[in-house]
Amino acid sequence: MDSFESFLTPQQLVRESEVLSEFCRLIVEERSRYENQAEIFLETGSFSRINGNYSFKYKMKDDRFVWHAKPISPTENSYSSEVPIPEAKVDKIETLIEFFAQSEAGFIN
Amino acid sequence: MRKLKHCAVFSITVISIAIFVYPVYSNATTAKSPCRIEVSIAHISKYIFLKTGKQAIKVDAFSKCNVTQSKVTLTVELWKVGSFGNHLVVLRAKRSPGVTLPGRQVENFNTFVFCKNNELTNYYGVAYSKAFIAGKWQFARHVLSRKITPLECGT
Repeated sequence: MDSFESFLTPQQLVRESEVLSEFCRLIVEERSRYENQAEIFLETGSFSRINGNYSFKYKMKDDRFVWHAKPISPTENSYSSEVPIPEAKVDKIETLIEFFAQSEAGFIN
Repeated sequence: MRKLKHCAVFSITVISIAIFVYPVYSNATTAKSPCRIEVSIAHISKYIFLKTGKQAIKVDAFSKCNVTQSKVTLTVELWKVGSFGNHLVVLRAKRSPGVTLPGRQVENFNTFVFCKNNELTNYYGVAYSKAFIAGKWQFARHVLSRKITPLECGT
């Protein structure tokens, strides 16, 4: 357990480890797909994908990469994330690979 | 000389944070917000390390209101302190479409990033929210982690 008082319940801590484990799995096993997606994204400026119960839209906004996860059900939560865009292309690709994996790894509720 | 350098870095940090946390309100009124936000200190989870073998830095936040609210968006940002200004590492927002009853928490526990190396870096979290309350959009002011944490985690 961490040395500070966590906000998460024991069940949420389990879910947290599942999401992060899934992130670690995706970044290795799906790396090739993410590299292809990153190339398309950098060429066109946007990318969309449906994964499970969410549709994901990736775009560039000013100096940031942005994704939005919209649920199929209107009663579910929606999520978004932003990270700064690095300067070098190789760093952009690496950042996007992590970005895609994070978006698909799931959410801690 | 070293003392002077540390003093300069600290001053830049304090000024940067002071500028950043300037209160934001939805309208001209300065009425006390009915909502409270709490942000954890930025931390490396040993639990995650044990499970995944990798170190991830994380910041968590929740908001709680004493009135009924709807369409709540809780945004959490992870920042690192730099010599010439602070840098956003990652931002995560969660939007809850329905009604949230008084006293119920809206949680955003999804803001994390994996460490790239062991470089000692200072981190803090920032959280803010907006919600539809009593027919108006209300914006809760930015809240920071209670302390800046030096962590062996380069990002």
